Amino acid sequence: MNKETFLTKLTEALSFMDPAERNRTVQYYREILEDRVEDGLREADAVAEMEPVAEIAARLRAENGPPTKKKRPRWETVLLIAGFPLWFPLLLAAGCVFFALFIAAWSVILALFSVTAALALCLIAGIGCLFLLLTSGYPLTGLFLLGVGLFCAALGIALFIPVLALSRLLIRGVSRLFRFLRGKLISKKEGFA
Amino acid sequence: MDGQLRRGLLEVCVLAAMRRGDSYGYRLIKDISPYIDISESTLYPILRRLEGAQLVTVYSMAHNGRLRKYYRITEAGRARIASFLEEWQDVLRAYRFIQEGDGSDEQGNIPDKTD
Repeated sequence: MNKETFLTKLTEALSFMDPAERNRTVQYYREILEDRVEDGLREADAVAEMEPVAEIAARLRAENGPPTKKKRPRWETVLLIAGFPLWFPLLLAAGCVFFALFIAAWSVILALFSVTAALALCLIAGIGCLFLLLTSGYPLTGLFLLGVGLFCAALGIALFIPVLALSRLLIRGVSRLFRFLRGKLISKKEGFA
Repeated sequence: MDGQLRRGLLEVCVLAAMRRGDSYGYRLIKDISPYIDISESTLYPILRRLEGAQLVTVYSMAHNGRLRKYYRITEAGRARIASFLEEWQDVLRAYRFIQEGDGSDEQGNIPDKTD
């Protein structure tokens, strides 16, 4: 495991901390790793010598104690209620935008797969055309259409892998956006509690 | 070793490691490890506590193109070490009592209690 992967996993494991404290903690471990490397260790060995991320998180969680719910001042609660007609429509609009992006992403994926499937199915159409035109007395045209069908099928098969990769990218991007927005919303909700 | 006792010892060890000069995380671990087990995740909360109690101060300094956090012991930190060394006499007396039954040292003297 390299340093950045270790620190990314650590950041995720320390999600119970408030962001400023989490950044300070991760920075501390970054310095430790960099000092170890400066001392002559290879990066992978420096990471291997660290405690497992889960143990670090458990130890720091035990040190931190149970999370204390921050009390919101009364005026903020009043402002929150009074501002409901403003922030709620905005939140709803943001939700709708995200949902539209989600639908758009899946539509693109569906369209791409439809295109590759249609191209692959051209082979059947080509074979069908060949038989039809053979019996109608147009063998050359039939052969030509079979050739076109074969070409389209080959194109469809060749495009399948890139379309799959692109679909995975789109799904990952949308998931990341969803997790980011959910994270922001949850951290705000915890503040409201 | 008892958890509370170990924690107290580690805190004073960390302060002692800074007595002769400012230090940083990795160096603190290297300096203290030969005497008592300490890991990065044990050290970090100790440093935070010491900083919170103003027994150390923290500053960042450029080092080989990156920033490194250094810790400096304060006068309160030095006083903490002195207080620990004084209190330890009580612990030693109690230790000898538990071991030998009378709390006297090798010369047969019983040190005064520190209150």
